[in-house]
Formats: sequence, structure tokens, C-alpha cells
Amino acid sequence: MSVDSLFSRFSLVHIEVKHKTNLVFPIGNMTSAKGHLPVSRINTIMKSSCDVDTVGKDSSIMMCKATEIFIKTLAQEAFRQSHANNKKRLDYKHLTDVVHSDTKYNFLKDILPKKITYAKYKEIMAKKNKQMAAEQNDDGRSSPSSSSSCSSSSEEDSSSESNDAGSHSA
Amino acid sequence: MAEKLEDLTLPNGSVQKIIKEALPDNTNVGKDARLALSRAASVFVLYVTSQASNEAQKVNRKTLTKEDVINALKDLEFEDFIEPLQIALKEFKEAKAKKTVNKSIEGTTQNGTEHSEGEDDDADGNDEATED
Repeated sequence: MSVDSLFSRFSLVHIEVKHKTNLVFPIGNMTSAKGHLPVSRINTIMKSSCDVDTVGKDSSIMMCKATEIFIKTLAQEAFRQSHANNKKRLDYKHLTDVVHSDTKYNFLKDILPKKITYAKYKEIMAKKNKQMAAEQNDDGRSSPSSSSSCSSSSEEDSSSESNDAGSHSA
Repeated sequence: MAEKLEDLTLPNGSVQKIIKEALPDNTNVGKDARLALSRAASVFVLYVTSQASNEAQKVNRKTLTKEDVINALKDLEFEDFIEPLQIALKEFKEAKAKKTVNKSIEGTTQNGTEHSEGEDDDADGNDEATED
């Protein structure tokens, strides 16, 4: 019986905690004085930038804290996305969703690219190849007939390669 | 300086700890998500640093100051970070000032108030050893 009551109490607390994190953005506990990230490592990263000569001690401590807040903010924003799907899990996909939807994370777009299927990759590469071929044709001052062949190749996906080859030889 | 590639990444354990602090207790964090966050943080440092160094170069300064970092954060749409940052820095400075005050007190009274602060015992003990 006592175990049962204990369990019920535990679950109550549990629900409360969950509720709290759902409602409040806990920016308050981000200001704890004790940091986790090594300042020396942050300093190394800052110095590895070629246009920096010296880094003040205050600024590397500050950057250390800022990085910590950055990780927390990004994790929480991504977690809210996953929470919308009723999941208690943070996955790569949630991160990319946040990064690709907010303009202030534009600098991360190349570092956290969206995962795509191989079929989509093939599609993109085919498009790119076509563009490259078109550019090459433009550079070589192509005749209007070859450009028309290029446009026809964009209409017919299956025979695009053979068309490209033909335009190359011409 | 940065000889190996690992020197430019953040330690996995600390990143994990920070993520755990930010999320509710029973959350699973995928391995790839943690790696992505860690890499994103490294790039964030470089991103803010380059913006801050731009600020410094405008006034022909060669050393990055904390004002540069704050201005850079402002310019890069991370204004939300500034307030908690300043609180954290203030706390850090206060802790540091406390330490130095304790040290000076110990220096003047000479082992009179040795156990005034339990936390700073280690550092102060080292300093005393060097002074002797």
C-alpha cells in the first residue's frame, strides 16, 4: 500500500515537472555561475580564427557562457518541435527543422543540412549537372539551336543525359 | 596551438551535461543530435568571434573585449543571451572579488581566519604554499 502511495506521489511530481517545463522557458537557471565548458578550449577555437590577434580573458569567459546558453536555447527550441509530435526524444531532424526555419540560425544551414533520401539526392544532382551543362554551353557561345536542345532536355528527364552528350559534341 | 582537429571541438561530456540541464529529465537525446549541437556550438563561437573582431577592427583594436562580444551578439540577433550573460559575468566577478578579498585578509592576519570560506580552501592553500 505504501509503495502504491509513493508511486502515485512520484507520478504527480513527475507531471508537475513536465508541466512546468512546458510552460516556462527556464532562462533563469541559465545563469548559474558554474560553467561546464572548458574556457581554454573556447579560447583555442577563438584564436584559430585568422583575423583575431589576441583574445581578452573576459571575452573568452563570456563566450564560454554564451556558447552554453546557445546550446541550451537550440536544444530547447528543437525539443519543443519534438514535443509537438508527443515525443520525448531529441533527434537530428528537430534540430534541422529549427535551424532551417529561423533566420538567425542561417549560419548553421551548411553545418546541419537536412537529411534527404537518395532518390532526392539523385534528382538534385541531375538538375545540377543540367545547369552545369547549360553554363558550359553559354561560355562556349553556343548557337541558338543547342540552347533549344537544352530546353528540350529539361522537358524530358529520362533522356536528359543523352541530350546533354549530344549538345556537348555539337 | 590548434594542432589536431579535436582541439576545435567541444568535449562530448560537457555538451551532454548542458543538454541534459536544458531538457526535462526523461528525454532521450539522439547521438547524432548531440554531435550536431556540439558542432553547431563550435561554429557559433567562430561566428560570433569573427563578428566581434570586425567590431574591434573598426576602431583599430587588436584585442577582443567583452563589449565586442556583446555587440556581436546584438548584431547577430542573439540579444536574448545578453542579459543572462551579464548576470553570469557579474556573479563570476563577485566570486573572484570574494576570493581576492579572502586572500588579502589571510595575508594580513596570517593564518588567523583560515577557515572563513570552505569553498576557497584549495586555491588559498596553494597560494599560501607558494608564498612560503
